[in-house]
Amino acid sequence: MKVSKTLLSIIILVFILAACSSNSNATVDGVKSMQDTLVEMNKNMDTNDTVKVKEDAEKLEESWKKFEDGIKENQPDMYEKVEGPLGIIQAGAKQDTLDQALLKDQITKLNDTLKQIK
Amino acid sequence: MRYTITTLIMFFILLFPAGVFADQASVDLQKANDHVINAFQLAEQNNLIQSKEEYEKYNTLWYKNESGIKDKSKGAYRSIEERMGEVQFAFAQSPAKKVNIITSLKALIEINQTFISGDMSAFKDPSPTGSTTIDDLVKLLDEAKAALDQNNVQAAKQQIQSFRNSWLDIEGLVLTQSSKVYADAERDMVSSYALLTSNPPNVADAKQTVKNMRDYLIPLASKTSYTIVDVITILLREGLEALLVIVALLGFLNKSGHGEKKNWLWYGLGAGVLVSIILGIAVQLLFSSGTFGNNNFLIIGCTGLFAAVMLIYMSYWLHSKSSVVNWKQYINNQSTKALASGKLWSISILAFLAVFREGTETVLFFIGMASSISLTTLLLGIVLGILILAILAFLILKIGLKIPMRPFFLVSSVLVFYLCFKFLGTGIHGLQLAGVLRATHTDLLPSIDFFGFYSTWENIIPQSILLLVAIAVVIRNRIRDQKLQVQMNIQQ
Repeated sequence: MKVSKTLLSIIILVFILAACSSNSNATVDGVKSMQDTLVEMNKNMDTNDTVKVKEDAEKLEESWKKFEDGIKENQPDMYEKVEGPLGIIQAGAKQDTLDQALLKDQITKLNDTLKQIK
Repeated sequence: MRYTITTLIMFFILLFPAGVFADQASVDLQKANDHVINAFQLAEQNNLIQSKEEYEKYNTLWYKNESGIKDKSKGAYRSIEERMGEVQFAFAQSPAKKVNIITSLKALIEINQTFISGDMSAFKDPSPTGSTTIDDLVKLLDEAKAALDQNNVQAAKQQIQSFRNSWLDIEGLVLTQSSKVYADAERDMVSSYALLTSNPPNVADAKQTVKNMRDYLIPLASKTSYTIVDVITILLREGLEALLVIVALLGFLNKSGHGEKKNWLWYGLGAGVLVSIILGIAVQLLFSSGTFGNNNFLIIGCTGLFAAVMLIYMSYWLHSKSSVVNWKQYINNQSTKALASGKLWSISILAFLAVFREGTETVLFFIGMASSISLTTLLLGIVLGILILAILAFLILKIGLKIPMRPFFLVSSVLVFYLCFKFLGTGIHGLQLAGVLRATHTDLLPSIDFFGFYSTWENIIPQSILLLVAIAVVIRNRIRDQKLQVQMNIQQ
């Protein structure tokens, strides 16, 4: 009785722990993370929070670094479409006064491109 | 003759400076950079539209050749891309400002030329050796914190930048250990950098962020593992208990004149050992980090705590005097029944049960260790443990050695307590790394891997309680024994 209970608890533990583990897809995760950051950035632009906008730009870069190689290899046209607005956003976020119109335009562009990434 | 020519060629090769044999990346960038120079000249002549077209040509070539540049120097690649971003920003502004376009193009030309000239010292490459460790990262954070204490924002900024560069090398390692720490570090390295580069720099918040990062990364640098001694300890304790039952069963067989049928007993014993070993290996394979990847620390946490609870349960209930008496009585009854009915195979089952009961417990403890020990060490420990057990069995069965019960249980109880303490510490530590528990560090006490002791309050408090309870139990038993002694003296 005791033995079967012990075995049962081992099996249950194994299943619980197995359920905890899952594999992630670098591209899907990366795109999602960049899109989330873009939403944040848009909000921070509205409140003209230069520090937060700069932080968001850094976040975008960090996320992109993780999966850009994969995109360049498999979807080269998308790669260039991301690098363009991303570079402008990086440079724009560093300015003392934010160029609202330009940055918002580039945020939209980048978001549209991210939506097309498979 | 041929030898002379080869020597001459070698000589000339050595005479030429390395730069003459420019690599493909530099050649490609030089070609592309010509377009930037053109764009610069056109911008100076107020021809911004054509200037932009020239820049676009550079851009196209860049995408084609950037891999070569990235391979040569990641630092250079990032720096050039940053300058390119500034050019693109200047062109995208409406209305476009000539000054900005000219300044950004000039900066791009300069950085490209630095790369072409082969002077890589200007670019800070993220640890070219690729041998960054988590300790190195913690050191960078310590330096950043020290710099911030002296209000040296510039130095702190550089340390954080180095941290970010080195991060790429180590992030995989961090991710496999704790996805929570990984996500936090990703967030905090960016925000601390942004806080320091803002105008004016927010030193107070940056200092706090750096401190937090240090706090959650330190535990990753020190990782407890179990040793072969731990494996053997458990095996000996459990094995000896099983052995005592086997000895009792053998005694029964001999006493009742069935000594020649003891093969039945060995079959049962063998099956018990085999099933326990198979269960042990299966568990180790299931719980190895390779199978579970990102949730490694969650496994260490859950299994560590599970094993600690099991040990407490075993020490204070299962092996309490009454339980041992019941178990012995059960064995006695069953073996008498078996002998009476002549069904000797049930002796096999009894031997199997005795071994399997202890074997299952052994496996439970191995679960607690499994994710922090290599399969080789585990198996080696098991083999060595079995070897020692076999020698002991030989001494007991053939030579008639009597185990001194009191010292044996005293020593093994201390060892079991040590393991329990370690399991608890490692379990909590694992949950901290998995992000389930907070980690509040203190410099009051050092971390001791050997005891699974970590200098966070979440570790110190439960482990201290366990220690205090153990001391209380020992003192209580001592007092009770003394009282008994006194009573017995009075009665005498």
